[in-house]
Amino acid sequence: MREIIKAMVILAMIPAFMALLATVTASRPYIMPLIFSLLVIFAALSLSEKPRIALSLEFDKDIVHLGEEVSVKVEVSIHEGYGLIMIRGPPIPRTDMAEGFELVKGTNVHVVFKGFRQVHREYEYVLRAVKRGSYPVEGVSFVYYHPFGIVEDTEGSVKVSGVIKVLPRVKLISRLPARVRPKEGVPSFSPSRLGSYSTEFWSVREYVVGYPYKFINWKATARNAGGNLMVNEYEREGVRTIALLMDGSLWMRYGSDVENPLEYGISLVLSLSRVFLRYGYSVGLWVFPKGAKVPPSPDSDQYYRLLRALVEFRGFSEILTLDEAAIRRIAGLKAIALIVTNVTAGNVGEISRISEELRSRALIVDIIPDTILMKNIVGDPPCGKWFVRDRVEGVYGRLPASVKVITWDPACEGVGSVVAKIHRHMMVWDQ
Amino acid sequence: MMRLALISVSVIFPLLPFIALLAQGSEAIGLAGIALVGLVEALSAARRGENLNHASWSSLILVMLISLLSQGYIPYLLHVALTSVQNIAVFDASMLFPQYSLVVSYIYKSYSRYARELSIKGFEEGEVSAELNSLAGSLLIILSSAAAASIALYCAITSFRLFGVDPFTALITASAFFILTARYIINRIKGSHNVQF
Repeated sequence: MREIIKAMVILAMIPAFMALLATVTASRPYIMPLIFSLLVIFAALSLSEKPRIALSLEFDKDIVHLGEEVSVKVEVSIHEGYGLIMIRGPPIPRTDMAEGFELVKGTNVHVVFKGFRQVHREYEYVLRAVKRGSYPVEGVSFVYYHPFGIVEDTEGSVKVSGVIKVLPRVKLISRLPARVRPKEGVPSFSPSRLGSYSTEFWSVREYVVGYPYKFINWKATARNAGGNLMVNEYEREGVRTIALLMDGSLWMRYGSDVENPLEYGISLVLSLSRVFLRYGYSVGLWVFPKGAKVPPSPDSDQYYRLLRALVEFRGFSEILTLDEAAIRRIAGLKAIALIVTNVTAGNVGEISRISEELRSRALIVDIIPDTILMKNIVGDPPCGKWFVRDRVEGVYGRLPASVKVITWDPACEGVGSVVAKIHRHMMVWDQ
Repeated sequence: MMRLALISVSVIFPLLPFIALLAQGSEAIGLAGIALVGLVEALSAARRGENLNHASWSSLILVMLISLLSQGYIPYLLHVALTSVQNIAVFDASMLFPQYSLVVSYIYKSYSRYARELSIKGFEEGEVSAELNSLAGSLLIILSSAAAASIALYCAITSFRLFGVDPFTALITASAFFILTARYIINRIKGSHNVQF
């Protein structure tokens, strides 16, 4: 409105010259431009009320999956005032929500002219969720401009409380082929270290803090040369435990914000956990270097605990490390460790160390980012074995022999296929 | 449509005082004025037409100069007038047109800048045009009402002859009044921030 304001200043200045001119020329018609300026200024001053703006914002859903659309409705009512009002609905630039959503229909910015009458407008637009996460709903912001500059420009916003959750894509695997299903009953390998105690005797060992007193074996304690308290150890109910180790380090963020090994890894972890839990496994999650930890559990709510932990996970800028306490805890569970990572020359040493210290069989899902990156450039991804061969020859040889690597190229292979491969390997270990 | 109306007013109105001169027999000055203002308009048209206010400014200044050198104390002291206009009152009154077009040209400039900036910022073009048209229309109504009212008031003042005030008293009174008004307006405008959307 700079130009109109300038015109107002000119109109306020001109009459002085007009009065002078009228006097020097002794011409009465100069009164007309003089009155004209006066009347315009009077009109501008009489329109100097500040507007009262009422805004409301409505989302049609607050939980969406990646790629799904959300419809947003903004209602604006303006009473009093005179001028242009610019309105911006979410996502507001430079906020988290702007990274997580894209506009697919309509626009979130609108301009309204409030003239002499009351204004009521309704706007609808559609957003598509493009990035997993939990996004606080920002309100609607507005800026008011008075055309004559008589009322100061006003910025304001209407805050709306709430959060929109964008869940990652999860492959729903309804059933697995019979040959990759786990066997019924107590498995011979890696018994569960969680769940309630059964009556099946396992061994006698030293007492540790937290173990129930009722399992103290007084005879074994009396016979113990060191005088240590001994307890009976019993097997626990339930099937084996699976420790999902999700790498959240910098190596996992090759690619774009929405397509990188981390995003594909999260999708794989959730798809896998869904299947594992369905078949009665106890599933736990550790995001390293220092992310969320979800203790293993076979119950039906465990999937949602994992989902909650992963939805809000943002990734770390550090390189891969897993602290000793976490490794000891996972090793103590006697669980099958499934490490989801992107194996590179830079982190293969650390992955080897973790795998060795876990002292159990470990399965590494190596997510290759190269084809994802190429897909964004050339469109049709070259799904050859180049990158796999490169890794087999380069970094896999430095991993311990107890580790099995499953290479996954997300641009060429679906989640379902990788889940089936993982099960197949686990069944081999189970026999 | 509104854009066209704003351009038309900004182009035609600055020429009207000179057309009035032409009609009253001062062909040379009238044509010179039309040529000069037309040249300024052509130059601003070459620069996307956003500086049409220059045409109004040039028209306003020229009309003031012609008026100043053709009537009143200056020709009386110099014993020479620039031109002899048959009905000088009509010419003097025609100054309202460049003044009107000056405001309209600033509105047009603002209109164009907003239309361009808002379309870059992701606003829907149709919506921006509609709202800016409403704004420009509303401002034109205010300006036209003010112009009509000023003509009516002038006619009323000259018909009824309510006050018999000498020119210098009128000058001092009007100047004092407008200095106060201008100060008030400028202070109000200074107080407004320049908030970017």
